[in-house]
Amino acid sequence: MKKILIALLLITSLANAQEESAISSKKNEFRIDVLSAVLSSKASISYERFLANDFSVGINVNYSDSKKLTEDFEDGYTNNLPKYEFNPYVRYALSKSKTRYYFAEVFGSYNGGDFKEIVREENGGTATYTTKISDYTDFGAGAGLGYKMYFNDSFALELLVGFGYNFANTDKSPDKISRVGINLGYRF
Amino acid sequence: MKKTQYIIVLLVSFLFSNCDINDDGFYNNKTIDVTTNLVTFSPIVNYNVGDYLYIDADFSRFQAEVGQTGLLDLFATTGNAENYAFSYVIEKRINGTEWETVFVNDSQLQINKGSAQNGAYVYGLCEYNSADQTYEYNVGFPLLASGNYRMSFGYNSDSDNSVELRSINNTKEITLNINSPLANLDNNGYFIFNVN
Repeated sequence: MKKILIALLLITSLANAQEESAISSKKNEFRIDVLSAVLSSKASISYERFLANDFSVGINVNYSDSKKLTEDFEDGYTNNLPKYEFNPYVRYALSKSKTRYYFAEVFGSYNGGDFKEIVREENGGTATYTTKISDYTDFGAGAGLGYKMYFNDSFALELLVGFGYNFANTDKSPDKISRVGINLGYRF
Repeated sequence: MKKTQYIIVLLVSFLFSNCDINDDGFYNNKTIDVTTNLVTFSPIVNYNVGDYLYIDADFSRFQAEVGQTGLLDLFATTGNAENYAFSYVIEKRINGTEWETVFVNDSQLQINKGSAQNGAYVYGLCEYNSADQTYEYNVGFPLLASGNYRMSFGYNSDSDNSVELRSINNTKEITLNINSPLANLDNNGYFIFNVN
């Protein structure tokens, strides 16, 4: 019985080591965010390139077409409607395991969408206030934390929570930006 | 332990991240000051029991706005709002320093133009008359008992020399808040009168 247990432990350790080695040899990963897709009608695709020393870099691209956000924008509960984001990021793995680990991330953001303001327009001696919709773009930065796990050497499940601030055009853009998601990915 | 700390940081971050979509507020909202007294009442200070105190509004959809040229179209701005709402409170003195709100049934209000409801305050609606392009309100408040009374405008309003009118319209259109000057109020924002 004791021998069987030792054998099982050895097999498991060997399997893990093989899996870690297999994952480490794969340097690229694509992911999609299923949480954003379901909850916010947001298409969110990420690419990550794994470097040495537990670092990785990547970029996340979002496009949002949320009915609720559009309604809030039209009803005046917000004065901007975020539509797209390009978020380059750098990550550092906080755990030693390559198959299940926490990571910290810093990200930049180039984002844009629609902005609404009320303007006064004069026409032939009378005037009206009307809403004028224009585009906005802004740059931001932030940080996040996440947890990632791999299955079958290639398939990734990732939880990510991060937030940051825009800083160049906050009269029109959202003050805060966030990166919250549950991502499914493939590493190769 | 380290894992627990990470999880706590994740949860706290998630709470913060819920504020991601900007800047709560109500942005289909515009407040303006006009030069005309849109709401008026008679400055008579002595009434008899059974009389009515009439509040009146009859103003054009085109109004001069403080600091602007060109008359502002109140109707077009609001996506053709049919009503502008305002409020006022009538109180009766019950002793040297205290006043109590006078309650009457809505059916006791003499509604000649517009509409009104009475509760903790009178909620009046000026109605748009397309024939002459004006908003109209004329409602008499019954004075049913003798005593000292006072009237103020805007329930919970801090203003003591103006009345606030608010357009009633679709939320997708601009809601217009109009501050209009009022005559015959004292320095504290009250019109004091007696019923004999």
